[in-house]
Amino acid sequence: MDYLMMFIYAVTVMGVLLGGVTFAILAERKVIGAIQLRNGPNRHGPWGLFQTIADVLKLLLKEDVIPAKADKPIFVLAPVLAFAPAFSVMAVLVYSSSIGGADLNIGVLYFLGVSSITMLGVLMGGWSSNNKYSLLGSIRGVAQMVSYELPLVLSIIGIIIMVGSLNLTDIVNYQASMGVWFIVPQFLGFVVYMISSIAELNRSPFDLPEAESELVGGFFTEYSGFRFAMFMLAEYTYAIAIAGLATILFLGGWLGPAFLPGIVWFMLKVVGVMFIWFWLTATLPRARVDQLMNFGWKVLIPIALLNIVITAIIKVWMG
Amino acid sequence: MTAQMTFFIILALIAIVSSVLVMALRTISHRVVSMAFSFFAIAGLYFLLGAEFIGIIQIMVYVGAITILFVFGMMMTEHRNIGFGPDPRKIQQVVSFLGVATLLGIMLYGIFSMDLPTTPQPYVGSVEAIGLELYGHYFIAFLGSAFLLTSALIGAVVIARKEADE
Repeated sequence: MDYLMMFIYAVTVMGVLLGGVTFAILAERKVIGAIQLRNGPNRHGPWGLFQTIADVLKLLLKEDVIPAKADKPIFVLAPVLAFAPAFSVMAVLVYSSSIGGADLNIGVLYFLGVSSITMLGVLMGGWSSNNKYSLLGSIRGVAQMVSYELPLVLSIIGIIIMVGSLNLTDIVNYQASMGVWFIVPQFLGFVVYMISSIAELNRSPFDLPEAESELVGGFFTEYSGFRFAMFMLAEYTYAIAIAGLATILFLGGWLGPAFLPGIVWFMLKVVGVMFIWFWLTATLPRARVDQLMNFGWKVLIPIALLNIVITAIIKVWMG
Repeated sequence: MTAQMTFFIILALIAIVSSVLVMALRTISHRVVSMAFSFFAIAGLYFLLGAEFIGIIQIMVYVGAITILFVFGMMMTEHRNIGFGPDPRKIQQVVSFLGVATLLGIMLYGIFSMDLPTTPQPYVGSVEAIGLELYGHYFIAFLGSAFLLTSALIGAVVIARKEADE
């Protein structure tokens, strides 16, 4: 019976997620369109609402092409390996005081550990395509994800020091009892988290692994049809998951004035975090590879370490 | 059969089959992927035993880091012409079989003669307990390994710099 409930929960999350990804893609195009004084998609359905559905339908109906020289089993497995960890991190997110997945006492660690596997999909996809652009894209992608995982993890440690627990529910409850969200006492951590999550997600301005002006399509150049759709789905699922983690850690999760239920506050905050990313995509030019690496290792990691030291000193000082 | 037993058998089968595939498959990229699956199944076994922290560390270190390292090694080197020569000689086969059989015998002896408590306490390997042990009991060993890793890191940087200067 327990397992049935778990299964139903997972399927429900999956369904909501598919809808969320569909409209996140539409929202991204609409937001960027508005910033660039265009209309964005507006032909399918009222206000272009069915644009992504039409796109997905097109992708699913396309011919499934596998290059002749590709390493076939790996080529087929890579999109799955990219999507599976991005979806399994959703298992520990808590959406409100009563709705949530596994109440793991190492929730944060689970999220970070499982999300580190997404690199494997990128790497296998780029390597097995037997294409120089794919290979370059995947090498860049993994170098970037390995470098930016460090500041991402380090920026969270300040919160863990303050709360003294790795459980996501405990973290939100601590913010409720403290009366202020962690974005105020951990502002440095929040800035580092937001910047390194952009790099971790391969989003603009750090979208070097899929830089279309130099690498065609990056690590998924050779992919088409539903395998390409799978990579896109993985990317946006991971984006929603990281926005959800940011909401829980820095923005107080489901906390908010009582006139709306907790889960609505949670979703509004996730949408807010994603809007910031779309905004940056439309505003900033792409960084160079060396700038990206220098920024990660010489600026973000020292700032994150400084944040940990300051937090630890204050924690010991205050008792 | 309880659900725990079912999951144990599934995970153990995945771990064993993918470990055998690491040796049996021909191309090195397939071997790396099956190795990742083997590590992942072992992490699942840790979760099943209630050692969540060790399970996550297994995923982070082995699946997340070591497999990526192998894939990088595979990508940076010429992978098509690497083989282990033709058939190994008879004497090599006999010696390796004897070595592996001895190892298996010793391990089985160790496992069967292990003195396990009959009423197992439901031990939860929480982060707090492990942290207290690590920074309390095993502090010297912890510092020692930290020094070792730092010196390895510095050594790698020195070697890489020397190559870059030339």
